[in-house]
Amino acid sequence: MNLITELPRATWLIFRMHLAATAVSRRALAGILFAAIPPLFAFLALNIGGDGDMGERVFMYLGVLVLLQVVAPALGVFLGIGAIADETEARTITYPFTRPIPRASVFLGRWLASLLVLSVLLLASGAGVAAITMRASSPPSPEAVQGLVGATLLAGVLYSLGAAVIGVIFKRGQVIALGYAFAFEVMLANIPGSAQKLSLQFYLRSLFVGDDGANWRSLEIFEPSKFLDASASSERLMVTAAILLAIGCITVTRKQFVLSS
Amino acid sequence: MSAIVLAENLGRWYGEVVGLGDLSVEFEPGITGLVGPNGAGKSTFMKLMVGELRPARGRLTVLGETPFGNRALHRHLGFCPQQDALYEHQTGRQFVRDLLRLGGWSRREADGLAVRALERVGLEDAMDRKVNGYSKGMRQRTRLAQAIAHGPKLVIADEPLTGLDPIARRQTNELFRGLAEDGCSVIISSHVLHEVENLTETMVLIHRGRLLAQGSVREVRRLISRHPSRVDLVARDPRRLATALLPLDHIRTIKLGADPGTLTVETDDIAAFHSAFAGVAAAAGAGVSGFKSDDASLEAVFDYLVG
Amino acid sequence: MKATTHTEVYRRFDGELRERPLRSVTLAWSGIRVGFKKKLPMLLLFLIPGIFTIVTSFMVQLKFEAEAGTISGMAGMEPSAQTMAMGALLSSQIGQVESLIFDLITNMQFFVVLSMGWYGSGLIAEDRKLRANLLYFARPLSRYTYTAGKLMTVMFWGAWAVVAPVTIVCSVASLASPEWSFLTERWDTILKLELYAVLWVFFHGILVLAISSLTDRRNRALGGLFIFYFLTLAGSNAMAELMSGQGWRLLSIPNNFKRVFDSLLGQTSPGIGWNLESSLWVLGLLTLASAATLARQTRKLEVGS
Repeated sequence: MNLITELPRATWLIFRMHLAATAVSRRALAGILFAAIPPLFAFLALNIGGDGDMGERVFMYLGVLVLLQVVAPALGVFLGIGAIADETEARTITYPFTRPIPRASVFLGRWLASLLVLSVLLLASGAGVAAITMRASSPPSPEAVQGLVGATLLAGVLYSLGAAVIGVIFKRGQVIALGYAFAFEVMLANIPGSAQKLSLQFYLRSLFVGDDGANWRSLEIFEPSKFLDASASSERLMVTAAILLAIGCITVTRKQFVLSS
Repeated sequence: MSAIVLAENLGRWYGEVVGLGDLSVEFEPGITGLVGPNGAGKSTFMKLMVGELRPARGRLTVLGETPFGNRALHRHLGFCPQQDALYEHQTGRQFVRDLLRLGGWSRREADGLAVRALERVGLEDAMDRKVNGYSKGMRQRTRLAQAIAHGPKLVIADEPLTGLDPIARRQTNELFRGLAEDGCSVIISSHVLHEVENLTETMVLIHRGRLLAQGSVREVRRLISRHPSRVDLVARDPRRLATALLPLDHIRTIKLGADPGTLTVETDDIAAFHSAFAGVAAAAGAGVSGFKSDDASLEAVFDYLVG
Repeated sequence: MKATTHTEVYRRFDGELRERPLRSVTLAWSGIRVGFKKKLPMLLLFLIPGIFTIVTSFMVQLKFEAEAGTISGMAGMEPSAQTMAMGALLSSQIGQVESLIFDLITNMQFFVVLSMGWYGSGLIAEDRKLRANLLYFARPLSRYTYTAGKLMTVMFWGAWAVVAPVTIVCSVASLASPEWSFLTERWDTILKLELYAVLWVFFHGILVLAISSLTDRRNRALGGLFIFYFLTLAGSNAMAELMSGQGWRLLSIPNNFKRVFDSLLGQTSPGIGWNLESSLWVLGLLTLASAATLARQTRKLEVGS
C-alpha cells in the first residue's frame, strides 16, 4: 500500500466526512459570535462616541489587540483541539483506525476541516474590521490590511495546529493549549529581553509591522518592540508549522488510544 | 487447519491494571465465542486483534499478520466495537458508505455495498435516517453493518448482542451463521454465556486476563474430571429412588432437596448414569416426573472452572 | 413470595430539609481530594505562581535589607553614606511591599485563572454530564449546600494560588523588616492585602462555577471562562484607547480589581481614574449575575433529579 497516494486520498475523504459537521458544530456557531466582536467594536469606535477620523488607528488597535491576540488564538485552540481529541472523547476513533488508511490522515483530515472553518471565520472578522475602518477618514493602508489579515490567518493555522498536536498527546489538551496561548505567551510578552522571541505573537506581528515598524507606531504605547524582518518571520513560522505537522502525524501513528468504557 | 488468530504469551496492561496476563490461544476458522465475566480481558484481546492496541509482551498474529499499524490487514478484518458510538451527524447509509470509501471503494461501489449490508442487518427502512434518531438496537446493527459491509475474512464483534431484544438477537445470530456459511470467520464476545451457546459450540473462556479453557463445551466438560456431573430429579418417592441409585459405582452423592419430591445426584460418569437410570427408576417404581441434566451448559462449566 | 417492584431508587426527597452547613464541607473536601489525585496538573499550574512568589519574596527581602543598609555588607563593602544612599535608592526602585504584591497577583493572574478553571470548570459541568445530580439531590441536600460545597472546592485551589502567596510574601516582609515593623506597624495593610486576595478568589470562584453550570462539558466551560476573561480585558483596553474613554476599562475584571486595590491601600494608578463605586457596581453585578445563574442552574439540577 503506497503511503504517498493513500495519505492524500484518505485525508481528503476524512476532510469531506467532517467538514459539514464541523461547520455547523456548536464550536463553530460560538466562533461566529466571537468573530463578530472585532467588527462590532470597530463600528462602535468609529460611530458612537469615537472619532470618525481614525480608521487606521482603530484597525491597528482592534486588529492587533483583539483579533490577533485574542480571537485568533482562542478560535484556533477551540476549533483545532478537537482534531483527534473529539474522536477519542466520542469513542468513534475506532472506526477510521480499523480501516486500511494511514492514521495520520485522520489527524490531517480533521485538522484541515477545522482549519477551513476557522479561516473563514477569521477572514470574515478581519475583513469586517477592514471594511468598516476603510470607510472612515485616515483609513488603513491596503498593505497594512493585507498584512494583518494574512497574519491573522497564519495565526489561525499555527494555533489550531498546535492545539491539534496537544490534543493528540494529552488527554486534557485544551487547558494546556489555552495556557500556552494566553498565560504563557502573555507572560513572555511582559518579560523584558529576548523572551518575546519564544512566543508566536512576536513573529506574527513581525509580518505586518512594515519597514522600521511603521505600522506599529500607533501601538507603541502598549509594547515598544524590535521586530524581525517579515520574510525571516514567515520562514520561522512555516518551519514551526512543519515541525508541528510532523509531530502530530508521527504521534497519532504510533500512539495507542485507550478509550474510556 | 491453520489458525486465524494466534496468541503466544500475550500480555497487555493499563498501568497497574492487568488487561491480559499471559494468554496463549489459537482460534480456528468458523464461529468462536470468546466468553468471560466483565473485566476478564475480552475487549482488550479484541482491541489487540484489530490493532487498536499493541501488546505489552508476547506475540499476536491475525490471519498470519501482526495487527498494530498493519493497514493491509484491515481490508480483511471487520470490527464491531462494544461502545455505542457513531458519527451522529450522518445517516446509517452515509456512515457505512463513508467508511467503505476509506477502504478504497468508489462512491458508487461503496453505496451499493452499504445498502446491501444495511439490508442484511434489517435496517433497510431506516438507513436514510440520522443515526442520532436510532434506537439502541438499530445503532448496534449499524455498527454491525459497517463491520461486514466490505466482505472481510474475519469479523470480530465485541458484545454484539448486548442491548438487543430477543428477536433482534436471533436475527443477529442468524446473520453470524450466514457469514460463517459464506466462508467468513467470526469471533464474538459476551459475558452472557447462554447467548453465545445458542450460536456456537466452540468457545474460548478467559478469566482475569488468562485462558481458562478452549474447545467445545462438552469436550471441556469432560475434561473437568474433578467435578462430578449433576442431575436434578423429581419423583413421587425420592427416598426409594435414592436407595435404588446408591449401589451404582459411579454415584458420588445423593442429596434430598428442600422442596418435596426433589433430589440431586452427583455422578462421575454421566454417560453411564444415563444408560442405567431408566432401568433403575423403573425397577424402583418411585414415580419419576422430572429429570434435568444441564451442567454441561457453558455457565455450569464456567462455574466449575472458576469456583 | 408476593411479586413486588422497587422503583424508588432515585426519588424526590419529600421530607423536611434540615440545614446542616457542615455537609457543604464534606462535599468540598471530596472535590478537593479528587483534585489531589493528579499530581502533574498541580505541578504545572502552580509552578509559575510558585516561581513568582519566590521572586517577589526575594525582592521584599532585598528591599528591607537595602533600607537597613545591610546590603552593602553583603556586597563586601563597608557601610558609608554613599552605600546607604544606594540602598535607599534601590529600596525606592523596588517599591512598596503592597505594590510588589499587586504586581505578583497581576503577573500570575492568568495562571491562576487557568488553575481555577482547570479545577473548577468541571465541578458542575461533569455532574450535569454524568447525571450525578440524581445522587446528590436524592439525599437531604439543598442546592445551596451543594453550591457552597462546590464553591469551597474551587476557592481552595484559588486560595493556594493567590491567598497563600500573599501570606508568604507578607510573612517574609514581616520577618525581613527591622523589629518586625511590617507586622506591628502595618498589620492593617496585611489584613487589607489578605482581604483583597480573598475577594479576588471569591469573585473568580463564583464566576468559574457559574460558567461551569451552563454546560455539560468541562472543556466548553473552560473555554467560555477564557473567552469572557480575555475578550473583556483586551477589548476594553483597545476601546479605551480608541475612544479616549476610561469608562471602557470598566469592562475588564483586572482593571476593576485594580481600582479596588487602589482604594484599599489609599493609592492611585494611571488609567484607573474612575470612582470606586463604579468598580464595585460592575463587580457586584457580575457576582450577582453569577449567583443568579448558579441558583437557576442548580434549581434545574434539583428538579431534574
